[in-house]
Amino acid sequence: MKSLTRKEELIMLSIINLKKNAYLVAIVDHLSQATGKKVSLTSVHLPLNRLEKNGLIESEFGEATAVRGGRRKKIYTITKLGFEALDEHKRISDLLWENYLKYSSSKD
Amino acid sequence: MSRRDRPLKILGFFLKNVIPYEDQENLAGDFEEIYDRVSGKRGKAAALLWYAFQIIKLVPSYIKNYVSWSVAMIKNYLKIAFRNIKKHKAYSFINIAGLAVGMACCLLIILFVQDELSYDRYHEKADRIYRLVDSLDASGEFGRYYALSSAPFAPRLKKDFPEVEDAVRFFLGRRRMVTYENKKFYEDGLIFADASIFNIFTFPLVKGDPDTALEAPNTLVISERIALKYFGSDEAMDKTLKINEQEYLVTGVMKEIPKNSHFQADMFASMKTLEQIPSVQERYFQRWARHEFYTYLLLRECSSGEELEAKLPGFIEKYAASEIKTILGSTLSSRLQPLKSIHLYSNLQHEISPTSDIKYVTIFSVVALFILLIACVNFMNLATARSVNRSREVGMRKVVGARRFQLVQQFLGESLLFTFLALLLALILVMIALPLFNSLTGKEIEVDLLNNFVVLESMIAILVFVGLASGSYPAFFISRYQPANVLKSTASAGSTKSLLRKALVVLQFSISIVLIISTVVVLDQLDFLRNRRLGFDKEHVVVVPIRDNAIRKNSEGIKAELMQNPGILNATITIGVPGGVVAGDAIQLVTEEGKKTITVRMIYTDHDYIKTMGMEIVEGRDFSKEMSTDANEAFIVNEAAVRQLQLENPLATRFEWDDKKGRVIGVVKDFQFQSLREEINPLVIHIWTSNTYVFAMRIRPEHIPQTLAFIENKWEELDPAHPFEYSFMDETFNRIYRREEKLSQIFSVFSFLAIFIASLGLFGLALYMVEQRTKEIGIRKVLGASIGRIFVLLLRESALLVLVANLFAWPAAYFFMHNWLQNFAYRVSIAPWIFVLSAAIALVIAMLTISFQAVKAALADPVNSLRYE
Repeated sequence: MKSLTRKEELIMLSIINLKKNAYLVAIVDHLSQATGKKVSLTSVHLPLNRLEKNGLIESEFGEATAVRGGRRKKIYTITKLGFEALDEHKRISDLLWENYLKYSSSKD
Repeated sequence: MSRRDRPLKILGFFLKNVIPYEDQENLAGDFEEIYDRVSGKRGKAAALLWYAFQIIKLVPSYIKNYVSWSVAMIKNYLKIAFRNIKKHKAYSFINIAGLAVGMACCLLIILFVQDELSYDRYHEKADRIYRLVDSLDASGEFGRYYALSSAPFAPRLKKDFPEVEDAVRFFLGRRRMVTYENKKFYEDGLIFADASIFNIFTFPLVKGDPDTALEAPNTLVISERIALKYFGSDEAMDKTLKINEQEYLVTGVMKEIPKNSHFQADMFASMKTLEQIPSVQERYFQRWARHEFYTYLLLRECSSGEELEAKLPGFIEKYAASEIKTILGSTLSSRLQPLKSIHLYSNLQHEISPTSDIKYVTIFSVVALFILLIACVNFMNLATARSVNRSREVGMRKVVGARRFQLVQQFLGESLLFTFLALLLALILVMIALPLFNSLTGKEIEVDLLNNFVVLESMIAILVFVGLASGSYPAFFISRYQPANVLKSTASAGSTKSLLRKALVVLQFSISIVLIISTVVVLDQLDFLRNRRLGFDKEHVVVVPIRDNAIRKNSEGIKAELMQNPGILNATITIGVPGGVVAGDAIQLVTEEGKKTITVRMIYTDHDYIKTMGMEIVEGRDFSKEMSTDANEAFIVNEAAVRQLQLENPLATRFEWDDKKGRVIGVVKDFQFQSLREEINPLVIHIWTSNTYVFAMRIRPEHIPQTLAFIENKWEELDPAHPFEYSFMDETFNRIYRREEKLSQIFSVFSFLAIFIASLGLFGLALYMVEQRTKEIGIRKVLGASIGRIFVLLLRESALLVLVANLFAWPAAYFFMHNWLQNFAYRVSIAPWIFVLSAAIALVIAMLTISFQAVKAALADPVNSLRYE
């Protein structure tokens, strides 16, 4: 399995954090809040499309809301494959971070 | 936010167009949400700007998307189209070849029509040039006019009417011998013309001054061809050419007269040459009654031919009427004919060279369109028939999301592709067929595609028209299929439309049968014209032109010498033989009430004319040398003269002509001295050898070469100054019908092509039909049907269609051919056998075409046909 990029990782985690409200604008907001930087629409939209194409996330239309001129949102959720990818990603990350934690704590 | 401001709405519309369909709703929603946020934070203007910027950013990806998808689809369409061509080689060949032949016909006819319509248009002042034509016939019918007019008209008209800017007269020099040093040839293209010719007509001079070249007597302007022929690379200007016995100074060299002119000339000699001869001046140039000149007028701009024409009767009354009344005993009427209409609308008597007829242009155009139509019908028929095989493709495409419009696009595109391939093939065919076509039509058409915009344009028009017309029905028909139906069953979805297919086949064969009938009628009429009892024996008569006056004077002695050869049966000296020149002249009929002037045709000849021509005397007697008075006082008339002049007792009729008085000694059975298009006119034969032009000899059908050699030897003795020339009378006579002959040839070719294309179509349909019924045939055979029965089964339907086609074709063909035959004074009736024959031809060809498939199907082993799947 192809490993996730940092961007993909962040987007997928955002989707999980946002629960049932993970649509494009919300993800962008969530990410800019978390990073404290301005995140552009395109920089999220394209990875989202790619993830969906690869079957890591899936989407469905939510309820229409007045705020959006009556248009429905496209809500993203993580698929089983997506969770597996995240698990794998986390496993590798944890493995590599473990030494760092040891090292940094021993410095204290 | 339910209030939507207008700018946002407009921008939203653009946005919708640049983002992929599946992303439209949520992305638009996302954008709007951010828009609202931005406008809340930084104001509406900034928000709009942001929104617009987003759209602009999306454009490149939109274009990339659009192009890549289109390319992908076109690639797919092309792949499928070529796969289909390859998979169904027979169909594709029939489609493309049929269309190509049809288009090639069309292109050829376009070239032909273009050429016909271009006649005389190259003159810069063509719009203002008119020809003066005269008639002595009281009926006023335009067909009775002749292209000639008399000499005083041109100068007088120019003087009297300010709207006449210039005028020119032509006098035909006929065949003359041209000599330069040791070069000696007969030339046909000599015309005497006034000096104003180069002001009126656009004949560019390579050398010499157009204004003065033909001012002086005995001056000559020659074409580059003649200059090359006589002077080679030497300078032609100021050289002297001898024409007959007269010497001419070359004062100009002109470019060749374009082929699309209603007259051709290689040399123009100055009219002054003739005018300066006192006797000619008096006999021709001052007489209003001598109609020997062609008169062309150049009118001033913004004056119309009709206005001037209206003034002509007054003009004639003032100058010409009384002289014409006294000399010819009739009244003259003149009209003006626009130069540009001469070639196609004129066909008067005494045209300088034979003209064409707009009718033939129309006929050819219609026939070409018909052929193209047949080819288009083929295409439609085969495409619809084949659509069954493609119904599943259409079903699949629809299921995966093709919209109907896309399918229409695909099939129209496919038919355009076929048409384009056919057009390429058609161009090759045109290149190959052009020499043949030129010899058929007697033209010299060249194809210069890059410079011929009419052809280019019409090619594109044909491409688009044929492509869309023949592709539209299948495209719209196929794209209507319901995917559920076509994918569910193996049943043919196309069978419901077989009625239309049948109608189209009937149409094709109707057209083909009309063409076949027309061809047969034209051939029949031509045969009739050639072999009708002409009233004389046209075979085995040798005609030698007289070039030397000494021959004329000594004609009796020469005849006696010639007759010593056993090969020569009879000989006569005459103004002309049937099919050649026969003069019109006025003669006085002496009755009890006084003298009456009548116009008749006259043949001037000697005692032996009637014998030599093999004509028959029905009353009285032939000229006889034993009657000394015959040489001056005898006239022989034809039956038409007896009828039309109402001579109750022909042999008691007295005539006066010139200074001769005499009576009718005999009546000759009517003979056809002109074309059979015209009725036989009253004719008077009279002995007068001074005005004779040819020697005619009836020879034995055996040993013709020896006899001809004898005549040639004799002639070289008699007239060593001129090269010997001869012709056979039957050839000259047949040449009158060259136009009809051409028509029949062209009709034959076209009707062959039409039936060929129609058969191609039928072949394709048979192929399809047999394919569809493979199983049925298999089952029938298993159940015991004989090969013969299956054969009949397959043939029956098509035979019926061809027979039905006759119902439509017969009345149409009868109507057209009946009309055409009205052009002839003597014509065949359209016999029923022609219809039956044509029907039989069409039926046999159709049956042969289908049999090929039917036999194959009938012989096939049922095991194979039932096993598939």
